[in-house]
Amino acid sequence: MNRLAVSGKAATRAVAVCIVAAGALLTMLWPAAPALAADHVIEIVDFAFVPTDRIVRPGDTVTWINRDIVPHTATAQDGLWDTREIAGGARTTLVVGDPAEGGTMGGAYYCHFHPSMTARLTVVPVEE
Amino acid sequence: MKIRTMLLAAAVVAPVAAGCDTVNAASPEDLNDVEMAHVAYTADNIDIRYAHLALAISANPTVRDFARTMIRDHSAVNEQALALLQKLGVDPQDNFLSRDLLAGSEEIIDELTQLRGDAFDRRYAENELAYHRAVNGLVENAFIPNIENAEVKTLFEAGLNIFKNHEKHAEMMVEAVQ
Repeated sequence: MNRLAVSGKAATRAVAVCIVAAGALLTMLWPAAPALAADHVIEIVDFAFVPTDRIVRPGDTVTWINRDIVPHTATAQDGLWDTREIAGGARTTLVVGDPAEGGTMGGAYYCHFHPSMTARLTVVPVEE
Repeated sequence: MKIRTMLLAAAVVAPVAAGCDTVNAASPEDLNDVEMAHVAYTADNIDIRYAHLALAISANPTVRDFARTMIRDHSAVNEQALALLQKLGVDPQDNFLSRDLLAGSEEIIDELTQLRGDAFDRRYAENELAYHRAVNGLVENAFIPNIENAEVKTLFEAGLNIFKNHEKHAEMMVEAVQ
């Protein structure tokens, strides 16, 4: 009885050790799960990008929704990316690429049709 | 051309001259909603004509980009305006101010068609700035305070916001083509 009791404790410890070991092994072998990509919405209202500044990460999506009557664009100041024309009431989505892998999305941008409309996307690394 | 712009500006500021005897049925603020809509529609189409002329004559990328934007934006506003009038079951109504604007635009088009190169670009840019300033003043000071229908008023307010942006854009173009 006593012995059995001791054996039960030993078994519990063994199971606990196995669980911890398995967890450690998984941690070593299994790559860190990527952070969930976020979906950012930027509205175009009364000839302005709202919000004007947005922090994004590689893998995120950015959707511009044009609430104005007239068409707009979101066009990189350096010319490396462009939503092209977004009609009044329409929306366009782009995926943020990783700058380390040649992704170019980010930085200052403007409306090609209305150059006084300006805003910025700041790309930061994915959190691990 | 300048005379036409001054005429329009005079029409805009005349009602402000308190006690003057120019306030009558032919004053801009006395127009009814569908007459104001006709003026706005006419003003949009005039600027679209200027823009097509610019695309036909100018090789300057700044001027051509601006002209394309004018065609795109004024066409979009007109489309919205016509849809609203259709919804309300009314037609735009011709009036003295629409006719005056059209007559003025003919003079400007005659002048612009005789210009080429930098001379055209400068004149087109100057006219766009003056034209938007004049029409914006008209819409803001004479039309919007006197529009009766709420939906028409909302559309005019949206249009004014667009055309004020055009005015700023025209200022940039004027500087760029100097």
